[in-house]
Amino acid sequence: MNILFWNTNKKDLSDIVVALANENNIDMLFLAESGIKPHLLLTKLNNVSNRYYFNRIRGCEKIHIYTRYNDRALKIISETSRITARELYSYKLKESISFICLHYQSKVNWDEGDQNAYSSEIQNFIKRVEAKTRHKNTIVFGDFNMHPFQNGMIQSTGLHSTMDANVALKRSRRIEDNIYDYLYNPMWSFLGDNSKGKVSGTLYYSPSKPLNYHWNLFDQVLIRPSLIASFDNSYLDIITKFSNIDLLKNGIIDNAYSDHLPIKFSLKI
Amino acid sequence: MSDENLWPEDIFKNKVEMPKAIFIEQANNLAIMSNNVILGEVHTRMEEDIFGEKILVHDFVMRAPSIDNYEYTLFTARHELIHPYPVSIPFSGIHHNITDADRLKKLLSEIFKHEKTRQIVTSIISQI
Repeated sequence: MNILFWNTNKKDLSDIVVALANENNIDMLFLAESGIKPHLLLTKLNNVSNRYYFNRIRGCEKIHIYTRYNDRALKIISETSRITARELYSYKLKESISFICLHYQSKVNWDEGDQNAYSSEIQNFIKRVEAKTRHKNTIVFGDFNMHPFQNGMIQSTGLHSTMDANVALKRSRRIEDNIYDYLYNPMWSFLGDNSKGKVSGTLYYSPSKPLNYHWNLFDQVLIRPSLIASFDNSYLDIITKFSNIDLLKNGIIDNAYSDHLPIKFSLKI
Repeated sequence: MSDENLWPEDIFKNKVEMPKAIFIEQANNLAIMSNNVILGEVHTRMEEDIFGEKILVHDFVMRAPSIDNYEYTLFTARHELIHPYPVSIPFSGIHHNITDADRLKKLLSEIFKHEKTRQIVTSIISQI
């Protein structure tokens, strides 16, 4: 199952999104800051064959979901204004999978301290979803607006994600009297020039300030240990080019499209 | 013990096209025709009539998830749990009692062509 997430920066990129979805044979398409009216994109996506549904919203207006599954198959588990949790049954695994997509507060409005402090609420949301669904086959993805190495992504009371699948496969760790479940973050593999992919981030921002990463890897996918075996690492990518469209200009993101690059990943489910 | 089979040979030959199957087929056609913008759904529940007999109730719902999840129940059909026909469908002030699948399809065709249905679809599409 191929999944794509893209923060489209409120732009009408409908033709681009359709080309992207078709070329990558996308089963589940998640758009943040979508500037496209859902019925218009749906009509374009289904122009050739009727394979996509727009999955209804129950509070999370920030994320639009188009998938090959209707609302009965892809059920809403929980939603807040910035996070949505959906559940789908995998006939291959004979288990249900939870898809949690989020668009976290940006660094424009919150500094890193705010983001880190509030990341415990994301963990609480994930815990509530896992308690409700009674399984931990959870994948969390979206625009975190945090670096993979930022405290909110790492700390035990936040996302508690790790760069190493073998560490994540230990399932959890104890700190004082509490046990914290791991998430595996394969996006670390994109950091730096000698890493996976053509770019080192999904957003390029280079202000004239002393502290500057230039490339920011804000769009990420995190996986619970139980899904690591089903995660196709070879498919995971930050998309920079498809069809005849180049999302980069002079090596950085071409803002004529979005200020973010899309990410794609796949689960063998 | 006798070896004689008292069951008639043709007992499994007569199949009835169930109302729900017909509704679902037409619901799917609506989705296909509208590029999944308007979905047809059949919501089925069990109720008891005034005599305590179990009846199946099917709501034929038109839903547009991409247009604020707009939802409208076009009609409701009822029949006994054991007997799929007659199926009763009140629509636009007329109470229809349908005795077989062919007549049901004919009625559905009339309902889908009806001015009321057209107005609902136009109202949904106009929001686009």
